[in-house]
This record gives sequence, C-alpha cells and structure tokens, in this order.
Amino acid sequence: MRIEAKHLTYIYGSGLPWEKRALSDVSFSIESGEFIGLIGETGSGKSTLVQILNGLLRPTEGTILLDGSDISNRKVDLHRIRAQVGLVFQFPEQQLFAETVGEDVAFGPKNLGVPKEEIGKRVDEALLKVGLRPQSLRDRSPFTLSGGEKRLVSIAGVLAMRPKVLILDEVTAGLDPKGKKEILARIQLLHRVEKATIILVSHDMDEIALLSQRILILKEGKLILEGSPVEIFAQAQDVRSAGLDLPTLPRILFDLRCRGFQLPTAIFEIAEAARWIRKELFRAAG
Amino acid sequence: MGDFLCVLGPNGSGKSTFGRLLNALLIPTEGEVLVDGLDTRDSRNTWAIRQRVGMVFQNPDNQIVGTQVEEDVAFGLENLGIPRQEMRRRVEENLTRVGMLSYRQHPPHLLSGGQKQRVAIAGVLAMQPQSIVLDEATSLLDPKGRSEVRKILVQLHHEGVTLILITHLMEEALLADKLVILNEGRIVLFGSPEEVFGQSEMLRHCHLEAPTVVRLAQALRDQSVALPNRILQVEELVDELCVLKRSI
Repeated sequence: MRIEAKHLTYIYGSGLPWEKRALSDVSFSIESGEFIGLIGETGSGKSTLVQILNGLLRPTEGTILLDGSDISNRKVDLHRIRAQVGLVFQFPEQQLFAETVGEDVAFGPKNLGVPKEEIGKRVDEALLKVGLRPQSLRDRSPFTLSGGEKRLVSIAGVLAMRPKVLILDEVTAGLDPKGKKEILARIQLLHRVEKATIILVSHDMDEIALLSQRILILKEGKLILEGSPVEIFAQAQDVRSAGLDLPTLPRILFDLRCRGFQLPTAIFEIAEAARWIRKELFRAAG
Repeated sequence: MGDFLCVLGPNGSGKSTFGRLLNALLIPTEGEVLVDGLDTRDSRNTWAIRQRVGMVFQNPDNQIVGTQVEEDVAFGLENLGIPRQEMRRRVEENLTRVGMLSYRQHPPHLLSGGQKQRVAIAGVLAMQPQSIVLDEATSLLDPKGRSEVRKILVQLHHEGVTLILITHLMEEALLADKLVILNEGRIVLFGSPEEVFGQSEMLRHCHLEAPTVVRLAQALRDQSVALPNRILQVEELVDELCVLKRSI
C-alpha cells in the first residue's frame, strides 16, 4: 500500500492555552513494500504521526492518502483503515486479555465482521506468520507464555486483520537479546515473504540501521532528514543534533574520524569496520 | 562492600530470582543468603535486611506512590518512623544526589521515565542501604533516560554504594567491575568484564553477545592489528588506535 502524507500538522488542544503543536507541515511518501525506520527523540511526534497513519487521530491540517484515497476526509470509514494499517503499540502484551491465544488473535477480525468460518483460518495463518504453532498454542492462556511469545501473539492479533501496512512501535523494547533477534527475524520475513509495507519506530539505532531501507527522522514535529541508512548515518552531525545517537559502529568510527582517521561512518558490520580501520592504519603509515 | 556486580543472562535464567533472594523478597529453597551476617531465612531479620538492601524495579510507574516527588522519597522513611527533621534532611540530600532537587514539589506522573527512575533511586538511597539491587531498571527507558540513570550508578559506585545491576544490555554491563552470567539457574561465567567477554563461545551458548566495541577490537586483533587485550570502552579503543597510528 502506497502512503502519501501532505503537509500534515497536528495540534493537541487546538485553541486552548496549553495547545501543543506535535507535528508541523510533514510531507513524505512511502512506496508499497518499503521498510521504513521512523526515529526521533521522545516527544518528537513519532507516536502522533503513527496514530494519524492508522486513523486514530485526524490531522489538524494536511492530507493522508492511502493508495490514492484521502483518509483525512470525514466521510471515510475509519474501521476499514485501521484494518488496512495495523498498529502494534508499545508493550502490546499488556493488551492481551482473552482466556486463550486463539480468542485473543480472533478479536480483531471478529470486530471487522469477518465470517465465523473464516476467523479460525485467519487465526492460524496469523500465528504461523509470527512463527508460532497454532496447534500447540491456540488453546493456551496467553498469560502462561514468555515475554517474547506474548509479544508475537499480540503481533499476530494485528496480522489477523490482514493489514497492508504494519506499524511497529518499539517492538523489541524490554526483551532479552534472544527475544529481540527472534522478533526482528520474523518482521524481516513478513517484509520479504509477505511483501508487507513496514514502519518500524525505535530508539535502537542498530536495529533501525540493520532493517530499514529508508529512514525518516522527526525533530520537534518536523521531518528533518530522510534517506537510506548509509545516507543518514553518514551525516553523523545532523543525526546527533536531532537528539539521536548513532548506531554503535558508526559512533566508534565517528570518534575515530574526530581524531584524524579518514573513515566513512555509515558501516554496520564489524568485519567491514575492522577492514576499513586496518586499511587506514597502513595508509597513514604510507 | 562497594562492589559493582552485573548479572546477565537470557530470560528465565534466574536473574530476577537471584535479585529477590538478596533482600528476602524470596527465601532460598536450599542454601542460605547472608546479608551483613543476617540470614534471610529468619523472618525476624527481614526488615533489617531490606533496609540494608534496597531494590529498584523495571517499571518506574509501579514503584512511585507519592503525589509529590519529595513525598515519594519520604515514603520509606515514614514507614521506618524517622523523625521529621531527619526525614527532611535525608529527602533533600538524596534528591540532590540524583540531581532531582529542583523537582521536589512536582507530581511524579509528569516526569520523564529517566527522572522517575532517579526519584525511585533517591527513595531507596534515603533508607541509607549498603547495597542496591537494580532489576532491569533502565530497560523501559529511552536512550536519554538510560544515560541519566547510568550516570547516577557510576556516581554511587564512586561513593562506595554496593550495586547489583540486573540487565540485558551488554554496553551497560561494562560499567561493572564483576559480571555473573546465569543460564538455566546456574552460574556459567563469573569474572571481570574482560574475562567474561573473552568467552565468546559460552556467551553464544547463552544467546548473549559481547558489546560491539569488544567484538570490533577482537576483529582487529584477528587481522593482526596489535591491540592490547583489555579494551572495553569506546574511548579505550579510540585511544589505542591513535597510539598505533602514530607508531606505525
């Protein structure tokens, strides 16, 4: 699904003494099947933007086009949009509520009015997509699962609505390294195999650099940078001025550059960084 | 006393259980825990032990009770029946220690995650414990909040407070003097960060990975760049490489 945002502005409490401008004049487009990393420090407007994208908030000004149709129009059926743009909130496992995993995952499609016969099929399909076995999990209580599994079940609950765009807000926060890897591998599969359009919101720059095809950076409600990980993290100074850190390797390379090494900063693999540093050591030696 | 220990391990490895055994939130099924010679199995010791071993949990929202920052910090002291004058002094002193004194009258729910955790730490410090156990105290925070809390930990370590930090974050483990790695309820590695992070096989087995800077230094050594063995911090690596560059 192609997303086009034109001049989005969102003001909380518009007209009130405490009104707050969360987004100002943000424009961008996302192609169908793209993997986008959305970053910015706390309070930069990421959550507001994401909620506009799936119809939870209506922009104060500007328009949002999904496959060409304007969802900021008041006549639009927002339920349909929320089914097309699936949003996985932060700590989604806190929203698990049903007695069994199957019922929990079925909740979304049920609300969409999907016929009963089809719901079972969708539940199994969604669980399989996140790498969980429907046979062994369907009838278990979600509360007996590990943290990482609970989070996968929550993602399955959104996938069961068959969204065309999947937005993930801090999807690995608080997980152990193993849980993190598993979730990220699953998301990559959803992107590659299911051709899902994915928007990943994260504070973890290593994760963003590794997965995204294109990165959008918000600062104080404005879109200030846009580009591939290599383009973005080559502009180390700009990223830092947005209140963001660099991924671990670019951070080390940047520090070396400040001390006179001639190195690129946008490198995300250890072996490659080591080769560059070695080459630079011997180049300096002549 | 005064050690900074970091406990690492995958989910379900027993990290939190270990933390809770230290201040008698849990009692060992077998074996014993002695805090300052006090046995946690003896329920008469429980309060004395909890006063010595403070605890900071993962979610700041679950541990803040007061409607004002200073009230929250005073909560533990009120329970101990500390005289008012002394209470005021300790609240002020410890809010200063975590850099939150100017927020003393603020309602805690308006603070950022990092500020809330600093208030929670001040509340624990006000009880004048000898040790503090932090159970993933930074894992829900944004990068700014994390670095705020880490700065406080480094400072407390310098002040001689014993710290036990339970975490998933390898870069955070580098703050500690000693690391313990738990897997399936057993200690599989114990030692200084350089000793532990040298054991890449065992780390992989526990689904863990040495911090990026340690792995980069290793990759450089593997390509015969003559770096010393002890490199844990980014600054150390950068300094060493600068020295090398000049000497080549």
